[in-house]
Parts: sequence; structure tokens; C-alpha cells
Amino acid sequence: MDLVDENGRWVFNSSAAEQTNAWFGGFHAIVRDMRVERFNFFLDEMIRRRNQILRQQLQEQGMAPYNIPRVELLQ
Amino acid sequence: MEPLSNNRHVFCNIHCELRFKCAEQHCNHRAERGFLTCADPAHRSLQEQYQAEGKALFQLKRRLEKLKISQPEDAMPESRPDTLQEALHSDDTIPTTPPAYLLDDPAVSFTGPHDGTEVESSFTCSGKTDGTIKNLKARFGRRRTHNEELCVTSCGMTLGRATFYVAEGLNGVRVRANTFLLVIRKLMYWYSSSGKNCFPPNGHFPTSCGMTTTVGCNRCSKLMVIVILRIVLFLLMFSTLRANIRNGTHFVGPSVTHTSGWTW
Repeated sequence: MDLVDENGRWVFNSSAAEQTNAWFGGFHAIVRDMRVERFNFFLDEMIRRRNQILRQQLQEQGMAPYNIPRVELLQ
Repeated sequence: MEPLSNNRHVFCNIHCELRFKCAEQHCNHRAERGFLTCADPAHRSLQEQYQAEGKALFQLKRRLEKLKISQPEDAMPESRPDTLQEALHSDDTIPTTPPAYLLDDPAVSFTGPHDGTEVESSFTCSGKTDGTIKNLKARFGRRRTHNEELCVTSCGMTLGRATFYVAEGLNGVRVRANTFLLVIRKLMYWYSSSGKNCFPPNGHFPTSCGMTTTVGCNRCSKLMVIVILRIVLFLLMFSTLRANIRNGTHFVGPSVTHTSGWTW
């Protein structure tokens, strides 16, 4: 399977997306009566704050999410 | 698709003539004046169901459904109202007997999400002898978006969000993927200003992905769109992500998640 590496670990962690989706779906009731601008602002802001918290959590767990420079990958 | 010009409108300006159409999905007749459906009694009953949901009797019915669970089947009442409407309006007080007629009535059944906008009903067509079930579906409220797409990395960070207004064809996904990039850039700015991340200094990202696949129609399955979107985003952000997992580094690609239509 391409989805699993040689150690049997998932290369794609689709459950991360599922978890995010479940979290995101909770805003349904909140954004119901919002207009477009507020809707966009609210959701973007919530995502931004969640990212901040998540990043902090990851760092506390000893992980360091970072972005590889594109140049490095394409060389 | 365009935004509603008025908050009370159900359809946008392009599709405004649809408000005169019967609310049943496959019915092309004109709605009767003062109603949302045409004169067909089956369609009219859909509207009555929809409106009944807004009334307190509907909640009482739910309470009765719970009551039924705690009572045996033979405790059903002998007399049975002819129609659902009659059943709903016959009693002002809360009946103490279980509402078998409400639950087992083959003519009317409530299915699907009760978000107050979509009403579905299945009934046996009287003209057919083989008992074929025909499904009727009507949408009464407005639907502002089709779904929300999130692009999520496997470490859980969300890279972008996009609102989809219809089940988009491939071209729509391509355009949307570019919009995604704007959000991603914004996030990247935040990212880069918040720590030890490293980004291409010129902020240059591909804005087209040179897809050669033919564009499907609007009805092409959601799954296909998601898969394609996933591939597109993977290509677009191939440059960006890796998470450091405990024993060594993993390459981690972003994936796309899909929240089904938000209606209101």
C-alpha cells in the first residue's frame, strides 16, 4: 500500500482531517445567521486560533511543525 | 451563483424565476398562488409537513415517539384517524396512547435532516400494482452554500478554507485552489512571523496547475471532486510541509476535508 510506509505507519494521516472536520462542523449553529463578511471572518479567525493552540501543543510534545523551503525540495 | 441581493430572498437574481416553480425537486409546474407547491396533493402535503415542523404539535409528536418505545405494541389504539393532518389536529391535549398511526402510516414518513428546509416523503403510487415506491423531495428554505472545504496537514494544522457554492466541476476546483493559495499565503505570513519557519522569500507559488483532465458536469460526484482537489492541493503545496515525528522525519502531505452543505 502506498498509504503506509515500510514500518506500517500511515503516510497520510487522514484522521487529522476528520478531527478538524468534526471540530469545524460544530460552528454550524453559530454561523447560521451570519452574513458573508462575518461568516468568513469568524471562521478564518477560529481556524487561526486553533492553529496557534495546535502549534503550541505540538511544540510541547516535542514536535516541530515547520515548512521546508521549496528550493530545498526542488533541488 | 451570486450572493442574495436581499436577505429575505430565496434565490439569487439569476435564478429568481425559480421561486415560481413548485418546490418539489422534479416538478416543473408552476406553484399555486399563495403556496410553495403546485396543486398536486402529494406535493402540497410536503409543504404541510414543512409548515407543521414549525408548530408545537410537531414537538409533541416527538414526545409521543419516545412514549412508544416504553409501551408494548398491543397497547395501540383501535381507532385510527384517516390522515396525518386529521391526527395532528384532532386532539388539543397530549394523548396518552402511543401514536402508532403517526409512525406506521405508510403514506407519510419523515426522513433526512430536520433542518427545516428539506422535506422528503415516500408513498406508494396507487396506479402501480408492483408497489413501487416513489420518493418526493422538496426544498423550501434557501441554501446559501454547498459545502466548506478545509485543507488540513497531517499534524492537524489547517492550511486553508474555502466555501463551495455548488458541487464544483474541475475548473471550479482549479479556480478555488488558487483562492486557497491566498488564504495559505496569509497563514504563511502569520506562520513566518511567529517563529522558526522558513518560506520562499519571494512568496512565489504556482497559480495554475496545468490540469489536462476534462471538466465534468456539475453533477459529477462529490467524491471525484474531492479526490481531484486533494491531488491539486498536494501538487500545489508539495513545497511546504513536513512534520517532525518522534523517531525521524516524515513527509506529510496536506489533505482536504469536506463539511457537507450548510443550510440556513
